[in-house]
Parts: sequence; C-alpha cells; structure tokens
Amino acid sequence: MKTDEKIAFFMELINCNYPLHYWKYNADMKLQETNWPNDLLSDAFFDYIGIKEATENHLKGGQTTPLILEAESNLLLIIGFQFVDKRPESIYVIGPILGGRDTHMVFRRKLDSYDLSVKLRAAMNRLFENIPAIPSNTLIQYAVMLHFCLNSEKISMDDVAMHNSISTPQTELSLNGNSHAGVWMNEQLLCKMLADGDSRYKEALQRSHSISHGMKTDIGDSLRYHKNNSLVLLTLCSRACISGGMPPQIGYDLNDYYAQKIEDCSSMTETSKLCKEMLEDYVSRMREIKSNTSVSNSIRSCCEYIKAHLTESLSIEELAKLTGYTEYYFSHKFKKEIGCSVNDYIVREKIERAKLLLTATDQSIQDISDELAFGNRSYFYTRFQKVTGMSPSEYRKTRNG
Amino acid sequence: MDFTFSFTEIADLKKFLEAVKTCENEVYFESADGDRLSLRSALCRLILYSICCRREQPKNAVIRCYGEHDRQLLMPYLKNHL
Repeated sequence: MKTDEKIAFFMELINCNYPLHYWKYNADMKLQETNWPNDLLSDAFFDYIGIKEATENHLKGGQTTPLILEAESNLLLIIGFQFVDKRPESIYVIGPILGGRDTHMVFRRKLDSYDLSVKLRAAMNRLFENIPAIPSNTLIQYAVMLHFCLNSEKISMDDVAMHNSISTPQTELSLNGNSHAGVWMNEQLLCKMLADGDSRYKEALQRSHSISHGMKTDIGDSLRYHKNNSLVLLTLCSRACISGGMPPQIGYDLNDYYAQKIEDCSSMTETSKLCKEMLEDYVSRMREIKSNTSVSNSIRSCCEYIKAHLTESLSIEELAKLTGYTEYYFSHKFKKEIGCSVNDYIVREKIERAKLLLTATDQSIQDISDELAFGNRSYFYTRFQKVTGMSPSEYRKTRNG
Repeated sequence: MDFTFSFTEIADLKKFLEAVKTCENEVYFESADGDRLSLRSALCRLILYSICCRREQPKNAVIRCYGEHDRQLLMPYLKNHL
C-alpha cells in the first residue's frame, strides 16, 4: 500500500466519526493537495497561525514525531511528517479541530456579541459548526496513527509534541523565594485532620488562610480566582479523605458534585459558603466512616486527644483517667482495638509530626525533639530510626534534596 | 481622536495583526457590509484573516484606530509608508 493510499484509508476511518480534512505539503511547505472545501481557513490562513514556523522549528530541533499545533480560539491541527532516507519528504496537516466540549457554545456566544453582517455571521457559524470538537486523548491517538501511516513506525502517545502558536508573555520561574513558608506544614496538618474526620480542621484551615491566600496567579477576575482556589481546596479535601479510608468512588463523586456547584456560584459569598458546607460534608462523612469501625468511642476520643497533645509528655495513667478505665484495662483495650500499645501509638503519631516538621520547617532536630516532648535527643533519634529506617538528619536530607 | 485608513493599504496583514496586539486602544475593521470587528480580540483577528484568504476580498473596508500612540504603531505596516 502506498503512503497516499494509506492516508486516504486513514482519513476514511477518521471520517466515520469526525469530518476532518487534510492538507499535504512538500518539505518546503508548499501546498500539494487538500480536500478542504471551504475558502475560509485556507492555506494562507495556516500561514497566519504560524504553521510554517512551528514545523520548521520542530524539524530543526531534530524531532521526527507528530506535532499538535494550537492556535487562537482553541483551534487545533495535527501535523505529521513523512521521512524518506531520514529526510522530510512530505508534511500532512489534519484538521481543523476544536479543543474542548464547550468551544462551539463559547464561539457562538462571542460571535453574537460582534457587529457582523448576516452574511458573514452565517458563514462563520456554518464554518465553526462543521469543525468537530475532539477529546485531546483521541487527538493524540490520531497523531500516533498518522505517524504510523507515514513512516510505518510505532510511537507512543508521549512522543507527540504540542505547540502553542499564541504568543504569551513569559513568566520567569523563581524557585528560591520564601513566599510559601509554612504552607506545606499547614496543608499537611489540615489534610490529616480531614482524613481523620477531626472537627478541629477549622482552626487548621484558618491558620492556612493566614499564611497563604491560594495560588499566586493574576487572572484579573476575582470570582474566577476564588473559584480556582475553592477547586484546589476541594481536590485536597477529597484526596485526603480517600487516603483516610473514604471509598474512592464516593470521594470522586462528591468531588464532581461540589466542583459543579463551585462553577455554578455567582458570587464570592456564595463560593465561601459552599466551601464551608463542602468541608463539613466531607468531615462528617469521615467521622461516620471512622465510627463504623470496631474502635470504641472512648478509645477513638483518646486517639484524638493524643493527636491534639503531641507537644506534651503523655502518660498511660493520664490517658486512662480520661477514659475512666483502670490503667491495666485501658492498655489492653487500646491494644486490642488499635492494634498497637498506647506508647507505640503515641510515638508513631509524634514521629509522623516530626517528619512533617523536618521537611516543612528549618527547625533544628533538637528543637523538634523538645517540641514533641521526646525527653532527650538520643531517644528521639532511636525511635525515629526504628520507625523510618533512617536518622532525622538523613530523612531531612533525602526529602529536601 | 480616531484615525481611519483603507484596509487595502495594509502591506502585510499578518504583521499588522501582530502589531494590533500591542495597541493601547481598540482597533476596528469596518466593512461596507456592516461588519465591525474589534481586532484586539483573538477570535476577531482570526475571522478577519480567514475572510481575507477568500477569493472575494473585502471592498471599501477601513481600519479605525484611536489615539496618536496606536496610529504611530500601525503606520509602518501601511503600503504608503514603505
């Protein structure tokens, strides 16, 4: 089968689902043939969206695999390269494609807001309505198949390059700033509380808000900014609860439900209110999940007490008093329900907090040991080594690179 | 203050539209058919370029820009200026 026949067959297969077209160019980007029927979005239009520059740069960079080019207004094109004796022979462009399910609707809305003559509006509407919206995964799969048609070579989806022809100002990456100090620590504490169904999550959230106002992006739309941050909080919350024992299906369904509700909000007040409702919903469900386990209320409250008093020196005597049991009965009951001794549980929770302090702060190991009331540094070292398999300083080094 | 010039005066539409992106005020394409495209919008630039690719070119169309700054910015892309 010749390449042209393969391409014709490939296009027929694609056309079973989507009305896509092709343009065939030679290596110098001179148009050889096309089956595109419209004089709008013609070959010269491709020049405007920078297809020539993108193709040249792609080939100059030594890349032989397909390229997906994104132009303004979510317009996408698949570009495949045919090589003969390692030299580019022909370039095939497949498209046009719209990215995103709602692009048609957005386009129609925008078009309605412009002062256009009936003739031009109708022509543009007709044109865009005939451009299919294709999921990005399918698009990349088509690019992989196109490459196979052209070169009989199997590549993976990761080999397909993406290029954006829209010029946007470059933001410089700064990795040495100190603008996120303490954020990780607070975020982890909050997630742990959510995962445990701990009602003190509100205090952790407040602390988190006092040091971080969310993503540092300037989008010029306060409501959108607020919604983006709410979606980040929702994602953190759902993943924390799943890791805490919530069935993933429920976690994801709740995530989808609240994501849609966030998008439907028409004011920042509404978004804030919804976030509170959403966190409370997740936490109460977590509490419900935890209460359905074989752990009794008294032991569960004891565990919560331990987590809330990690900076203190806790004794079995004190904890037994809190539950109202004798020390002997309490110790046995705790081990039976939790699966480890009271002391081991306290140490495990303290080590977890120490791990967080080692990675999220620059506190000295002595300070961390003191803060978590380990008594002395040597005991802290021994217990840390036993639980994690490495010393606190080694742990800090491996986590902070 | 607004300035207008004939659309046919544009020497290179691609470069001209790139320059429009840096204008301070609105820049409009106005055709005799009643089309008015704000060229600061990406979609409008796309529409304009696609209609200019047609065999039938827009007739009696003008470009309208506002302010001396934008006029100076766009002038180098007109045929008479070259």
